[in-house]
Amino acid sequence: MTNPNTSTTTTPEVLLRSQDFSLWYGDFQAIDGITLDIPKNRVTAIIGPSGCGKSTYLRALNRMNDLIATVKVDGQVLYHGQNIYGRGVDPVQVRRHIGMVFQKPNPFPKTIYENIAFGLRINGLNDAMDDRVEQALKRAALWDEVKDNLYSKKGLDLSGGQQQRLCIARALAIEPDILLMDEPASALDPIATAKIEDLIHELKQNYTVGIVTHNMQQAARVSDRTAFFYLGRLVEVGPTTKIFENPDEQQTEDYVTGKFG
Amino acid sequence: MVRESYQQQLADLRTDVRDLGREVQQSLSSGLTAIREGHQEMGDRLEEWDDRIDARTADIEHRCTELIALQQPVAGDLRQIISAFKIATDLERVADLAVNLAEYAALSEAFVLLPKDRLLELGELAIEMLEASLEAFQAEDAEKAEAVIRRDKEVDDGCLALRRDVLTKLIEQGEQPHSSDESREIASNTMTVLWSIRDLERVADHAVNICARTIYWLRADVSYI
Repeated sequence: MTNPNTSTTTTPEVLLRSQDFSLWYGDFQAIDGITLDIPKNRVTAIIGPSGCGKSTYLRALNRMNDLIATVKVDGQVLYHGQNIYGRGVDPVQVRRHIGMVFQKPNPFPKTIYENIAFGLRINGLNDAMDDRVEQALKRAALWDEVKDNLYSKKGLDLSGGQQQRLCIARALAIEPDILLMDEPASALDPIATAKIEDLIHELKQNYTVGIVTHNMQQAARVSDRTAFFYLGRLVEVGPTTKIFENPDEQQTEDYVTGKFG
Repeated sequence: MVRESYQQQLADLRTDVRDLGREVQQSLSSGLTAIREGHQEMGDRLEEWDDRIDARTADIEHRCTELIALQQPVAGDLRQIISAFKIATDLERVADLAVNLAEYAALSEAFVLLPKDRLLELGELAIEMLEASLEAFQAEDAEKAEAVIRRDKEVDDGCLALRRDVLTKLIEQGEQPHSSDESREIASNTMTVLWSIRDLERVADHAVNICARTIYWLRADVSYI
């Protein structure tokens, strides 16, 4: 069933916006003045060659780079209009609303149930725990595969694809608005990748998704909008069909057709 | 190295479309020559030729499909492959029309309704358009392709004028008494002549299609398709 809110013909609300955003690792400038909108209930893909700053940018969207001492930023990242780098903003609260899934599945060495419940507890969501765990696993399309082993099986006992969906479930359990995914399927086989891609398609009904991928066909399959980064700059952003059929910039054309990268 | 091989395959595809186009042009010229010279057997010879053209078209289609499946092309590369696929189909249809024209040559009495020279004049214009469309594709020249598209009206106007002349001739003949055999022959000749006009009009339409696909490939402009 099509959710009218996700129709591509309407102009969606912008949930997250970076405005003239730059980032340095020490003296090295990794991101150079990027202004980019992440619209609500859409999948926005970021593509570009290795070292173009796409993962750094994604991580900056939920202040994950704060953990690196040499990082310095300039510009703004506006979430619901509020700068997440503003004075007094708690990065833990930012990450509560803007979740992240990484390239390599990283479940906790605990049971499947505990993998979900742990994040809920530390965020103070202690009520209706069983229901929250079930809902999160259902939203990550993992429930049917694990419901009989919630307490007996460890997260690390699952297959790679299941582990990644467990991590997505863990991120969804605390009910974020936005889910950021950094190469979420690059370590998975084609079947597990297809499941993750189907899941991304489903998730945009209720969430806003930002995904970094090296796999351009994956970007073409799962995203509504695609941004092409090169040398820390945003070269072009537009509807995914436009970027892959008729990009405006020659650099984008050369990259998507494999002439460099 | 893989990308180099891919670029070479794209270049080979362009070359093969060009070569198919040349063969189809020759086939069309032969069809018109058959009408000019009343060559009765040309139809059979072109049928055999047409089988080879069909096989070359199928080969181009197969390679387009393979490139899409294996290389997953996007943007300009994808447009080029899609265009080559479509252009090959247009060329294959022109070859079919060339066979038709050669077959009409066997019914030379049909041209009592219309001087052959006038039909052949139109045929030359259609061949010129086909040649120019293939040159535009080969030279990657969207402006040239647009110029060919603009010439389509000349062919359309020419076809309309020929049809009117055929109609005038029919009315003249209708004023005279005819036996049922004569009437049947007039009807048959009328159909043959009208088909030949229509087939040349279709050749020009296919030339326009080739140009439209060339423009789509080069500019991502779908307005002519």
